[in-house]
Amino acid sequence: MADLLRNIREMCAVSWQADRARSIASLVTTALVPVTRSMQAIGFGLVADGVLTGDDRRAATGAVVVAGLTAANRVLDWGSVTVRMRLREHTILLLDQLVMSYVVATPGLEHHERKEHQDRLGLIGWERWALNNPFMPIAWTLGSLVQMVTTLAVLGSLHPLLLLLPLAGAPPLLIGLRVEAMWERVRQEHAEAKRSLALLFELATTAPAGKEIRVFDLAEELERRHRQTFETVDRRERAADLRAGLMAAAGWGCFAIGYMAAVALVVDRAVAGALSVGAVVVTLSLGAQVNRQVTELVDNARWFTRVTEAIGRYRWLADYSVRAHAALAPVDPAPVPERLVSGVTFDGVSFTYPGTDAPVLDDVHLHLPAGATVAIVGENGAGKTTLAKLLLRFYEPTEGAILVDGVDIRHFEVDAWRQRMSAGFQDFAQLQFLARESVGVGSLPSVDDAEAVAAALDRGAAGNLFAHLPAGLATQLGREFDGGVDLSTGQWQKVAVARAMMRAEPLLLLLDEPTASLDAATEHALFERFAAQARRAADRSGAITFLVSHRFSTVRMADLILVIEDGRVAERGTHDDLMAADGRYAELYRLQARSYR
Amino acid sequence: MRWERSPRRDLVRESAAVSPLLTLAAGALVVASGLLPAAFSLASGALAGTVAPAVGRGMGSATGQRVVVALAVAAVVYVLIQVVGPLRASVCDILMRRVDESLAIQLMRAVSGPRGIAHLENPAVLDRVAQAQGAVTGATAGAGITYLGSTWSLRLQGVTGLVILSRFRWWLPLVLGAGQGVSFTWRRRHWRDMTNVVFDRTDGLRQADYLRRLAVRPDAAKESQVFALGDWLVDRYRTSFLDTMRPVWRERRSGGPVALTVALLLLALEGGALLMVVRAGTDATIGLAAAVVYAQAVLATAALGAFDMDHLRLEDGLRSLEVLRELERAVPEAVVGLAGRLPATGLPERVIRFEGVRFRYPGRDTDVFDGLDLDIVAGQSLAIVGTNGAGKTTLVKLLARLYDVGGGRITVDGTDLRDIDPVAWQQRVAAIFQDFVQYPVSAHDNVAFGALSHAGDRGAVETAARRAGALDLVTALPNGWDTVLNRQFTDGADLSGGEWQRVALARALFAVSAGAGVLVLDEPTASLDVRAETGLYDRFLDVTRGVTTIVVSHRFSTVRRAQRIVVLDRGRVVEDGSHDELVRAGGRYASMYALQASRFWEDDGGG
Repeated sequence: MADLLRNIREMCAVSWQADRARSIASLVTTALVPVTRSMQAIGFGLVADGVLTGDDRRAATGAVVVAGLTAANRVLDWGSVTVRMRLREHTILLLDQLVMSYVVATPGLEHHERKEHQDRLGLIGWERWALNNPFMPIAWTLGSLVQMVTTLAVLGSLHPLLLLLPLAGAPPLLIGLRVEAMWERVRQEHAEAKRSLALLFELATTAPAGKEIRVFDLAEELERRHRQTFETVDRRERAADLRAGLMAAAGWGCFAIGYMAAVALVVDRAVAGALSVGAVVVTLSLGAQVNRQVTELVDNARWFTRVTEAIGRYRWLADYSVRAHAALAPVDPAPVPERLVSGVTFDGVSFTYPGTDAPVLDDVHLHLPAGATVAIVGENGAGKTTLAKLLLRFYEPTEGAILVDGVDIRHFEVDAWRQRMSAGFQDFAQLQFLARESVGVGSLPSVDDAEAVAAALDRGAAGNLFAHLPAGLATQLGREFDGGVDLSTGQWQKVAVARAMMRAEPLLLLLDEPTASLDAATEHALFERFAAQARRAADRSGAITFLVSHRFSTVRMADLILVIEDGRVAERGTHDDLMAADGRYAELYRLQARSYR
Repeated sequence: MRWERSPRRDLVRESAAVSPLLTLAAGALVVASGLLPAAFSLASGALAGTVAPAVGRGMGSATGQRVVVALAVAAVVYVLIQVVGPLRASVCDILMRRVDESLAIQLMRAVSGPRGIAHLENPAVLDRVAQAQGAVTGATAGAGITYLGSTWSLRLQGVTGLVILSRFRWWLPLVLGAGQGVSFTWRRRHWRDMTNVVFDRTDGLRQADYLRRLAVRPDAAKESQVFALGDWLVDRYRTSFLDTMRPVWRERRSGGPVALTVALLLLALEGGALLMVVRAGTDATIGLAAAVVYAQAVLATAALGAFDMDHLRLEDGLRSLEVLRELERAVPEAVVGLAGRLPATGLPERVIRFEGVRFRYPGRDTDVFDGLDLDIVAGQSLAIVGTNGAGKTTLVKLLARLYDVGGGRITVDGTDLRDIDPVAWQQRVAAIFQDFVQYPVSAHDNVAFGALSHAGDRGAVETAARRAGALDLVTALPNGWDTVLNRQFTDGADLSGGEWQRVALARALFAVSAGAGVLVLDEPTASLDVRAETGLYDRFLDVTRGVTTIVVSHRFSTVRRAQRIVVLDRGRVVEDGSHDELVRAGGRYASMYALQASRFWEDDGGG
């Protein structure tokens, strides 16, 4: 019961927060509609009695009451629909904002890879149209109850036994709740398959995949898989539907029999002369209404449990986010240093991705000296990117610690630590904003500062990247939206590198294969700038540039080179040291050099 | 206005195609739930009529027996009403899902059917796709089945009311019917106008949704964490949504005055009709039972004028269907150039020739190519180099006929590419693009997708994987070849960037082994480690023997292996020759190569 109340409170809070005025209006209009309906029955009673007794005025009053209420109802209905739609839109907006902030505020990347997290996000995504306005079940339940009470008052005045009529509503209600519980189980079981359906649909209907789909002629295959996945899901849902239909029909049959028993009672009393014939008319004309009221109550009860499940999902996501934050909250907080003196140290760091068995990093000891440009080389899957992800605290080491000037990074607030880093990734995001923004988000305070963006582009050796665009820095990027201009992959990568250059003085600049798609001239220019910048930054703040690359022409310029192999540091030193040592690095270097001779 | 009826019929046809039996059942249940309430009100009237004569005589009397029969009839009708509702809901629910699936497939087909991709990069088409999905209004066409049922049974109730009233005064149904019709038509028109306002703003809504997805999906998660974009994204989403919806809300308010006018009009009509019925009752022109039945019939006609939530959801669902049909018609028209009937078997045998090719992307005001001439000799390997944005990938897209040229022509062994069946030609082409697809399917299927007709050939899949250097990583996966390559799915696994590239490469090589004659590799080694790249190129000539191969790359270690290299600059070929020739020529290629290679040479000089 406490849980139920908590959910009700939360539901009200959501609606209230989304749109106060319309929350109230929605409650009022929704509650009024049924009231006018049951008052119509009284009008009908007047008509019947008037006709029976030949009382002209009484019958006419009845007719006017009925017609007037019908008209009032019509206007109310319009108002109610309009109010509810707007409230629904505001509620969707609010709920979306909530979900967005839960997900983005969850530190790390693990939640993006967890099935239970993704399933809930998926369910919420589909429910947002149906489950907006969590206020409605309450308003409608109240409305139906008010209506029910008025109806019962009318019936009870005829015969006290009729007050027992609500008992007939019990079977459909209980069955309705069971059916809803069954559907909730089905929904949860099918969440993954439905995500898969959405992905297949997306592959078939969006441009990036469109090229391959055509060249490899995959459209029919995607269609086949879509249909197959659907059929698997639907077989179960069809059975559920059939069962739900039969169960509900049985429940409603019970209700109907109960109601007709009541009618029989009134008819019997009337025939006995204890009640007027008008009472029979009233009871019968209430038949449709009682039906509707109980239907609404059952629907609302089901809707209510459904909304409660949905609220539960939101709460789960919120709790997940809070827990993830709490897990990272420093026990013994320390400020992030202004400048690096000694550097960053991996002290026996091991790491295994959640849900997998094989460690990616295994007892890694390494030191990134302050002011150094450090290059990481190694084969695909050796764990290079993972090192960067741990530095960014996307994940926490399973064992060991990362120390900054001797302080465990777990003593820093995650946000404060990240504030002093910048990064460009191998699988960078192509942010379809205005050109200025797509770069500028690298440092939000300067997102609209054209000069800061131009400077970052320049630092990223992409000074003239936007020169040819129709509206320069104000051009919409990407082909998805009106007036958008697409960039080539290499140009997108330049945007990503420039974005990483937005923050003025990061302590740590992580570049994960920043030049994979760049042309030779840009790559060259970029590295000369990196080197110069790294030296300047090193003097001021002891900043470290951390570079993952397969291009040895670049790697060799680094102050320190780390060779990662099978999750361990296999070799370390300068280019000359490593060449002299004639180990793995020298082998790989010669392998690549061979291609240039 | 022809749309008024056709989408409804279309929806029913779809439903019948999905399941004739269930559609028939739904129809019967809809008719039943439309007629039963009227039957109940007739039975009620009859029951009320039998009670008065029996008063005081007891149930056992002859008149009393009549009461019992009337009561029994009313009871049966009432029970039926109760049972029909839930059954109808279940049947409609099943139909809804199956119709939505069928329409989703039709939409996928409409969008993925055309062989070009220009329409996929056209925001107006993307707007239509979102509308056809029901993503803009939240109402799918399939859901319309339920609403179609409920609105029809409502309408049937209204019509029954009219029929009953015709026995009272023949002209009364005409007046009431006309009034209700005016109400319904006006309100529907107003709603359609409003949906049009929303549709006009689909681009804005898609932008808002893009922001939502950026926050919720993993694609930009790393950036959003490092740069603390969370609040900014949420804020922008809010502004974007509100800015888009404001005009819609303004429009919606304009419905108020007219709703009021219509209510007053109907008040006059219904009030007048009710008074006539009542007057006839008190005059004893008609009996009590008839008066009750007629009065209820007057109110029942209101169902004809009603336009409630169900109606407007139905209307929106039908709009989705209309948009789908428009898309089916419009998309093929938009890519009408992408036709051709000639077979592509064995092409190319001699040469693929670009002759004065001109091309610009739709909506852009600058040409990518302005007279490109290039011969690609069949069976040879050709590398294309050039600065970022020089048009390398566009060239590849034209070659794969994802776009048709804007001027000039591309010929294959002398035949204009536009005369060749695009499906057949694309089957000749195996390509891996820079932004290759990471399919959320098993490792095996990720490779086999290169040539589905040969998917059963496990040996060939493995060979392709070995050649691409992907075999070891696949066998190391928890479920080997059966592992789904996406962590979001049960027992899924993820690959690193370089590992994915090997899988994508294996896909293209598998297509070649299955018979594709043209291999396009757009930056195939960008993320590969040194050993993988070297290994690949040591096998390169072997793998591509007899296959026309086009490689786009910035890595000169990759490029130099090609038999021929062209340098592309501002949409034209500026240098053409073998690696040695171009280096000797000392032009642009030589200087680009030197930029990358000089560091290795320094090394030679030093030691």
